[in-house]
Amino acid sequence: MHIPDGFMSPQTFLPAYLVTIGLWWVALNRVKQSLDAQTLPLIAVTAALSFVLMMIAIPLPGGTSVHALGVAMITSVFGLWIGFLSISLVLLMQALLFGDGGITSLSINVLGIAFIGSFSAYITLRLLRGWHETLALFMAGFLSVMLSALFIATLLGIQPLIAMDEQGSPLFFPFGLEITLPAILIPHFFLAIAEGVLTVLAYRFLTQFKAKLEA
Amino acid sequence: MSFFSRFSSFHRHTWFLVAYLLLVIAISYLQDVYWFGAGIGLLLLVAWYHGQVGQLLRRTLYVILWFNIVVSIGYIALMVYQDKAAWLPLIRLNLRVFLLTLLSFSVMAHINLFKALSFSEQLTYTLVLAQSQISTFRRASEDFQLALASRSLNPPTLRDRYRSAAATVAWLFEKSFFASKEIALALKSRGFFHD
Repeated sequence: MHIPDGFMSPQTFLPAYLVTIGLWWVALNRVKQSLDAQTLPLIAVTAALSFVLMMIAIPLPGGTSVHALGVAMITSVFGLWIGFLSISLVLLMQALLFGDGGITSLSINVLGIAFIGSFSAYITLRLLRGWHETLALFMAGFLSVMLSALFIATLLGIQPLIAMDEQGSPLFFPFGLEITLPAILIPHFFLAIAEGVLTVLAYRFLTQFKAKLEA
Repeated sequence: MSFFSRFSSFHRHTWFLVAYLLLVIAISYLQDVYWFGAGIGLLLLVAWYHGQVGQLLRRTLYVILWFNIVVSIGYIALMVYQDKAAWLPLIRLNLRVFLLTLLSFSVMAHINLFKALSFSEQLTYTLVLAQSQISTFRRASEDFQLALASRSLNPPTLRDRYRSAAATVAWLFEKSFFASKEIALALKSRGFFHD
């Protein structure tokens, strides 16, 4: 889902940076009271965990595989703002240290993957958990992927409308919504199912693990 | 600390990082393919001077090749379908993506990111901790893959691969839980939050 540099117009990524910086400020303020010897390593280790989770291939029948995002999993375990900050840190490191996802698209990747991903997971869990926990966890994983993909597909798809030359040719990403929406959402539908299942299994494992430690 | 004295204490790598970010924004506003060509030429010249041309080109192509090929083939197919030949947008897009990615790798080869972000002690510590943990987790994750491959002469079945992926994720969660506690104790014992 990461977008490399050069596909997004400055009319898109500069306002996205303003929103991203605002969200980082809110998130840091929210965790600031608890930014101590416990939370700082927790954010760092959670970021490392989600970085490596994004590398693990989930096998699909037919020999192919998809890569998990782990956003809903991280949010369900560590909470909304620590989840958002950790995933943001991963995306920052991927852009600056590993060149995966560009610096111009970092703000869009943060808004799409870190914010929309963790926020949708958090809201879904809050709304559905009291009714059916397994369904809530599955839907949190599923929606975190689908809504992130929808956001990024929409921003890519509106590029030809935002920036074009005198001849009407696109200056940045050349395809409209009629192409980006199905091209991005259909493959991500399968990833979203895998992510939902992974969220349920990982959460179950963690609660059992915590209970074992406390016993 | 006053507003200006805070900036004067910035490390030179911080200023390089700021200059790089401003340059990226400036390039995003350029539309002339000759400027993109000149920028690529200049970066390759600097890389050649430092003996890094091969390495930088490999890294740049590795990152952009798949995405750019998919977009370019799609665009060419659309041109054929619409029976028009507008090559300039395609060349412009590919050159811009190449220039920005090459610039990022060129700059990152010379900037120490940890020094560049040293204006915030907590951010630097978090990055250092995260990167050290990433190295540990990556090695462990590769070990799990090698362990799966070494268990059998035949390629692993889908069920085996699921079990291996689940075991890896479980191990990572367990390790991260304990690593976080160990680092917290280490930070506390060194007085990180009281200096």
